[in-house]
Amino acid sequence: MEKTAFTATFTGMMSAFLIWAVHFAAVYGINGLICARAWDGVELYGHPVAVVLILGATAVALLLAAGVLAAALWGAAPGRRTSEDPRRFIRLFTGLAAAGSLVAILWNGLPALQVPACG
Amino acid sequence: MTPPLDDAALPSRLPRPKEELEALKRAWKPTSGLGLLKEVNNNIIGVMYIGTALLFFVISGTLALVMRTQLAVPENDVLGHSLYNQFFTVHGTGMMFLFAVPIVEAIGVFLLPSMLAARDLPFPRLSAFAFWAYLFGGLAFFCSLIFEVAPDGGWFMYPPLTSMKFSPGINADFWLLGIGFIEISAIAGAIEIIVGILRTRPPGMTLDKIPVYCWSMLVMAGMIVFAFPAVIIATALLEIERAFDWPFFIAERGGDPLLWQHLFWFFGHPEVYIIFLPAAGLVSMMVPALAQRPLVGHDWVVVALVGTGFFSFGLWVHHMFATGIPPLSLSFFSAASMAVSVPAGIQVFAWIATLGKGRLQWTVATWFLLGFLFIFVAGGLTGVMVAVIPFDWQAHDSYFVVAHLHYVLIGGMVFPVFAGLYHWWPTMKGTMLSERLGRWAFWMMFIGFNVAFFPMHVSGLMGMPRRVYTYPGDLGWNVLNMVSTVGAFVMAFGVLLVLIDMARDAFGRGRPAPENPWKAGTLEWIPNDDYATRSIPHVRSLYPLWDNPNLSREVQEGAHYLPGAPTRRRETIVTSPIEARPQYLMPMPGPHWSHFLAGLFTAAHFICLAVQLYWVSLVPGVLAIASVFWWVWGLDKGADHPPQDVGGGWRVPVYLQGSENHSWWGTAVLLLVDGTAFACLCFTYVFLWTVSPDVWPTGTDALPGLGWLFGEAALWIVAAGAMLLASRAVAHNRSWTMRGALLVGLLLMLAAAAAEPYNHIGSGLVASESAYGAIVYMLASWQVFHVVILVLMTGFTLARSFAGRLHARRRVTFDNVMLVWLYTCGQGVVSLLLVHLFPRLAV
Ligand code: HEM
Ligand SMILES: [Cu+2]
Repeated sequence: MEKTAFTATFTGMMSAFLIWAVHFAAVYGINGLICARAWDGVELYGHPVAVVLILGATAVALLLAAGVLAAALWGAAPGRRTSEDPRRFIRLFTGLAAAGSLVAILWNGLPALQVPACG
Repeated sequence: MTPPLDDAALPSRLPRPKEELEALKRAWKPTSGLGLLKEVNNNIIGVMYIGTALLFFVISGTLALVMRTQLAVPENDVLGHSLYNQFFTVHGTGMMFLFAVPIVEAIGVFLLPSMLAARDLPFPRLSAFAFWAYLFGGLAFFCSLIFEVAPDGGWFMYPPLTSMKFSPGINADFWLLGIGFIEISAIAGAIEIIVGILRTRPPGMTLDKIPVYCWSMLVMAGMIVFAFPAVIIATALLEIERAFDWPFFIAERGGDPLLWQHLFWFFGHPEVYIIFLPAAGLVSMMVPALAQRPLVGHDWVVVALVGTGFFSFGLWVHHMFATGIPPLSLSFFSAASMAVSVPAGIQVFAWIATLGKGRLQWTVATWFLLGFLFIFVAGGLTGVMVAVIPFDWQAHDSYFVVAHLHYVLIGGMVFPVFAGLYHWWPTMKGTMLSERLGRWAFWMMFIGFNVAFFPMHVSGLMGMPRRVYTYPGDLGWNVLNMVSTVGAFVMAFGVLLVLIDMARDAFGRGRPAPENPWKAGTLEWIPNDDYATRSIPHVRSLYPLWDNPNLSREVQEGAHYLPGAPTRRRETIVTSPIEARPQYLMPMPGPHWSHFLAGLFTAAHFICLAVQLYWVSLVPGVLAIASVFWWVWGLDKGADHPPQDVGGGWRVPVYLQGSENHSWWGTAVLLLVDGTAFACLCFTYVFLWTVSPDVWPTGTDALPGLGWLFGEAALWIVAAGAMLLASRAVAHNRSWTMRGALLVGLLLMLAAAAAEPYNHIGSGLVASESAYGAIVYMLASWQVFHVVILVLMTGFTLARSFAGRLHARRRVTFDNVMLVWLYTCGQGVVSLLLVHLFPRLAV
């Protein structure tokens, strides 16, 4: 029982950072592929494909991280199944990590609006 | 199990019987003389480990002094061109791989057990093995300089400069094989540290009461798990390219030197934080002790540490700003580089706030900490500068970067480590270093450092490139270089004073220290011995010694947990990872020759490879494997004692199987390393495809038929099934079924692993012809390598089964093999899908 509680709790605490990592890998991969294949001329919904995909990925990541933050704020935080003591810390950790990741994800996604994809 | 104790009562009743302490002492009695080689106690290994790392620091530093002498005046000829190249390579490599990472791990191995009040970390023999492998490997690496066969491609060894074509000698092989295998020892240390921090905490030290330093070590070890495989794979690919001409990095045949940079810096940037975070953790422990108040914003600092760990993985391309990567991709990395300075800033503010609120004790450590803050902040500022892409294009590969990197590395880790040496020295054997010498040393190091490295910012901006062995006298760099050299010698003199101070102490001239000389609040200040503290304290807060002034006394009288050695051998309590509840009493391996021999033979094996004695290398290789078998044969003892009383009403078993066992955790962490390495190979495949799709097969004709894919995948899946069958057989003690299932499964895996290269050979693919061929065979070889390991492991399992050491109630060995086995099957299937489906789907 401790083990599932540990794995669930620990991944829960790390979830916002993991979302950041996946988002980061995704936008880097998307852009790398687009430039390697010289698809930067392609348009999607009237905008360059890189911008649409990267902003889309950023929006998804932001929503997920916001979900983690909300969960930490309103109690459905990971760590429920374990006893009283470390819970406050676990929630605080999860929440702070989510807040930090939100900013980092936004900060990473925004250059898509300004910088040309492949130059 | 039994209920936890109520708050008032002490875990063990006083007074304790006399024999108890005797038993404890007997079990932990250190071996003396030559027996030191057999020793595994982390208290002792840790000290030798720190000493060796300092030795390598001095050697690498001496090389730097020679380089600085060469650069003091223009057109100097102390070092020739080629020797200078070897010097900066060995200096950089030595500092990064043989000093910085090892010393932070060594300090961890020494400090963590006492900070966690554990008798020892869970895998003491593994850390001892890591130490010996490191010692022998490191010595051999430096020796390559004596024979002028030292690597000369810079510490990051960029191909094509280091490819066979441009580095035909064995110099590069020394780096690739020497450093490649020392990384394995770093990973061994990381496994020990992760499982140690999560599972050997004292009862009551719940997740929120873990000291910051332990968090920083947890993050560091986690980063090693995910960063080091990248460089191990990179070195393996380059070594294979050099040995067998498989063109991973050769552009003419579809390879790409940038692949190296990606893999190297995916490791290399986190590496900087692997070095810095533990140092920051030390600072976060020293600052509260010196200011006599709790760390301000403790929880924030913990989140900042973990966040830095994650974010620093998103920075690797900032070392590649000048390589022609698309602008938008660059801006992701520029953004992440700036984001990562936020958590660093949080920590700096927490330290300053704590110092500001408290009444500061002025010790040598305090001085080194202030020096650290000053230098590190300056280095951080130039870091933000080089994270700005246009600026980086200007400063790239100039002395500005040399200045920046030394500000960050020396400020960020050398100063905190020296502070730590002075601060924690008393916990070693109860003596103190000299405050007077220490203060002299600090000022010489601080002033010398700034005099040496500040001018480099200027010479860099004036255009002096890095890695030049000399320069003409009319470029206006003369004075700056002379000043730098003088500063370097002043700094070196400061280091020498510290060494003299430590030598004085070693010769018995150190002052005896009072108990807890700085009045710190954490557990490592409880007086301890070879067996660690007399009893393991029950922890109720972050600074237990401040909250309970009697704690130290209680612990020394044996009033807390595990006051003796109930099973008469070395053992410690394993607790649950979140709530730190006692789960079982873990027997610890004692002194032995096996891990020492394993370290020695492993080093010998790799050295033989480096000097191209391929056949000879088999001898130490086989001996190393034999030593490991000898070593693990004695482990997994089963429940050879009834459950024991460890105090506080906890009666715990001495053996636990399944996913709660510490070795299961160790294996799981190892598989994370393995999985990361495999992911790097998959990345290599896709990356090479993006840069040279022209060498990929276009039609399906050039590919093996789909039948191979399904056939081989089926073999892996059935092999996994055979393992599950064997597992059930163990549970019901049906030994023959188990043995049969293992053998059948092994044969299936051998068939699957062999079929893959076989069918590519059949369809005419040649590894040395193109990068495509090279990576396909590389993935196949990776799988073969795993099956070879499993042949050894299965043989070992069968041997244990025949020896009666494996049955339903004693199956930890089996479970670990099962984990590796199932992982290998899964990896086999993924690898097949990539190799066979990707070219069919790719556009
Ligand atoms: C004792 C003080 C030190 C001095 C005087 C010093 C001096 C130097 C010099 C002269 C170079 C060569 C620069 C060039 O020609 O491009 C260099 C490179 C380097 N140093 Fe240091 N260093 C010192 C300490 C350290 C420490 C403590 C570390 C790391 C923990 C370190 C890491 C490096 C690295 C990574 C390189 C780059 C090597 C390369 O280009 O491949 N140094 N240092
Ligand atoms: Cu970096």
